[in-house]
Amino acid sequence: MTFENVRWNEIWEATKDTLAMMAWSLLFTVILGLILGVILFLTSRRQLLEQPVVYMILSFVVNVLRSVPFVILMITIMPLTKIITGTTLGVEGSIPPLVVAATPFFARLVETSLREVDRGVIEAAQAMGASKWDIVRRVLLLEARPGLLAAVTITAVTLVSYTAMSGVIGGGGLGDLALRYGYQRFQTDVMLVTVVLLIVLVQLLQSAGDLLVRRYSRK
Amino acid sequence: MIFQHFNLLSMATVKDNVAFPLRLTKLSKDEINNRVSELLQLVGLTEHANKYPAQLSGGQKQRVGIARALANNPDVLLCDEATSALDPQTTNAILALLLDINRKLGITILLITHEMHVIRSICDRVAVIDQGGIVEMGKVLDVFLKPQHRVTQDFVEQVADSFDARELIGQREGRLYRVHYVGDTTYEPILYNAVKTTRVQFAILQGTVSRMKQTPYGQLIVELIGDGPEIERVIGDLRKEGLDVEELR
Repeated sequence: MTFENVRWNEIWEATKDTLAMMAWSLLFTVILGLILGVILFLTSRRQLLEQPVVYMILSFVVNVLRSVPFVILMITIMPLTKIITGTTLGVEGSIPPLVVAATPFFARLVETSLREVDRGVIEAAQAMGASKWDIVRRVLLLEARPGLLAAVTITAVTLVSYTAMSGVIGGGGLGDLALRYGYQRFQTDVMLVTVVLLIVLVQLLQSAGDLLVRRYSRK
Repeated sequence: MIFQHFNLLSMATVKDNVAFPLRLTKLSKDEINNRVSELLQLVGLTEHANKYPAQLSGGQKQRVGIARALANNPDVLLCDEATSALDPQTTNAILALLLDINRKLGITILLITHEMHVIRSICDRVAVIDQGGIVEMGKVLDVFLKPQHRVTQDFVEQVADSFDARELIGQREGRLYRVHYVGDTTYEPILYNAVKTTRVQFAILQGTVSRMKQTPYGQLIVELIGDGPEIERVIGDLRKEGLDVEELR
């Protein structure tokens, strides 16, 4: 194979786009998903703010968003994307759909991690007079830290594969490149390079995540 | 409050676990640090300040729990089955620490347990709870020596390794008595003194001589063999010495 079709400066630009899309959407996803996940956890049965109706509604919305295939979701929320970023194209245009798709996913992972926190520790904090906010901040988020870091890693990897799909609506990045050159023009060499870069990216993310989880595990 | 399963933050160091209740108050960083080192000193964990709970033994974890519970100077220390997850040696070490804290700091300790020797070794007063209600309450010595309620009797029998002395009635020719004594009389030869001027003989069928907290006590089932009037005199002498004598029928 000669890689005659590969224009490296374009590959470099696409890689930067993919990284930018992933980093920004990961940032917003983690902020929003953490809040949503904590609310899901707290309002669920036998927890600090038990609210069956609130939990049911939130849970339903999360399930709906998670059921819609990303490609469909991306197209459906285009009007919303336009309002938020002013465009539905490029890196900016793909961040809202990425966040909307990844937030419910991450929120569920957060909820699950928080469930793993020993109830006894929460009880002890209550016995010491900790407020609910203190318990969230000083107990739940601290005790669930390894689980939360693992959840961020999984979400980051998921976002990489989502960014590749956003190529379909002109989102840019490596996926877009693979689609336009590799698929539509049968340039297998471009396809190969982009796929290899995506594999490397995922490996790096996973290793970094594992390292962080190990660094913060105390059990 | 301290717990059976310690309930420490697994992601925080010993120091941070003890600082947890202090950080909920308005104390400054320096004040918190000083109080934490003071508490760690008290429970003997100064050199483990930067370890995580997973690196500690059960007894050490419970010491962290105790330090944390004392941080905000409580009036009462609640111990919920605090020694039930510990081995016997560690249990004794923790009990010694609790007793020490009780004396040094003058804190009332309310201890929930099903381990009778825990009550015998450090408690002053005891209440027996059955089906969610208090069925018996009083000084440890009184409750252990003369349990009134069925549940209390069951508990006390577990430690006294006593069998039901009433089984002996009718099998023996003499008269059976249960004798209790507490305090200094425990180590006096009272029984011998009471019978030596009579022709009454005695046999000890069952007995315990031990201590509760610091108080020595004894509880014997004795058989007295002899004439009725002479036995009455012996009983009278024993009672005069402050012993509690009760005939078993």
